Amino acid sequence: MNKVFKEAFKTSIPILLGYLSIGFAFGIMIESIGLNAIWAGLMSLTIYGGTLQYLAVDFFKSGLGFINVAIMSFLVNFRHLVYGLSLLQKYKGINPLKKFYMIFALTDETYALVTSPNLPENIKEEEAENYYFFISILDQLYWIIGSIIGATFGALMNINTKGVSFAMIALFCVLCTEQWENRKENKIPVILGGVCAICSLLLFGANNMIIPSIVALIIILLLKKKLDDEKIPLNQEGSVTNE
Amino acid sequence: MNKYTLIQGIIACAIMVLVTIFVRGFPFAFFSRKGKEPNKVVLYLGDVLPPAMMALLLVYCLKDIFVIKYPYGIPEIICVLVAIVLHKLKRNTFLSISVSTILYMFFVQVVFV
Repeated sequence: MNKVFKEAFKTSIPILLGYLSIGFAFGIMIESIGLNAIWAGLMSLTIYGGTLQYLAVDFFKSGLGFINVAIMSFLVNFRHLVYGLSLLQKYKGINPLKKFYMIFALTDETYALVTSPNLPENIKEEEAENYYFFISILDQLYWIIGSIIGATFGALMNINTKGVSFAMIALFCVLCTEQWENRKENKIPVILGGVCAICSLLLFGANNMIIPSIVALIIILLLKKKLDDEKIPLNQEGSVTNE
Repeated sequence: MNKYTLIQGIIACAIMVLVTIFVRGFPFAFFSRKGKEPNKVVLYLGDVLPPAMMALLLVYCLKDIFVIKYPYGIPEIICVLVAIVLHKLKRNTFLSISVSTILYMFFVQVVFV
């Protein structure tokens, strides 16, 4: 057990650094809107989603309606549904309580670690379950600790935190760039998403832009799939291309 | 500051918790039964939604920038560019976020007051 835990810890070190710092920034932002370390810690314990938690700060700041909160939560985490699909085999047969936690704790980074192709040399197949379990727990621990430290630091230091919520914008810049660079097929979806959002913002205003932009985006993406599936040849009417 | 009352804040968090658990647990609850293959449309959306959503979210969090009032969104535009360029060059999440955010804080606290 000890050996499995040690290996899980070693594997999770990059996440340790990442989550401590991004969690720290989250904690600072939470404190800057008048909440405290308890809020930060509990949110990190129960929601456990970096992107969503960063957005949550904005929800609080703007008093976003509950339906919109639900829609945003669903869409931001939709990719985790797909992660689950790809882990159906790997997580089969695990003790239900452990399995429930491991599914709950599926973040991008944990998913990346769990799906990395090679187990460490000294971990046997039967120990893999505990290895993944420890990785999941450690990752969340780092996240919670980072959030609490950040919120506490923000409260104690009394620094002028004006502008700190830009960290969320910066995070999305980073994530967007990563998606763009990741593979060539991502470029069109990125552009479509941006265009739908901008048009919706211009037409419906800041407070109402979410639903129209998402509806339009999904319709356009599904249309694109239909076009791709039917393999419309190049140069037909000059306006349809296949990437 | 914060526009939710305590109860509203708790409800909002509860919604986020429940939706997150639902989204993450759905494949295991729904597709474990024999013979149910994941729907092609779901797989397709799972493939294209993440990049599209990131762009949408980026616009979403910039939605309140007042381009008409001083400082005309200049600090935001500069820092967004800094974040993107720095990330393209170094691919270091912590670096990109911290540098652009600190620069932004400097702008709104010191430069564009």
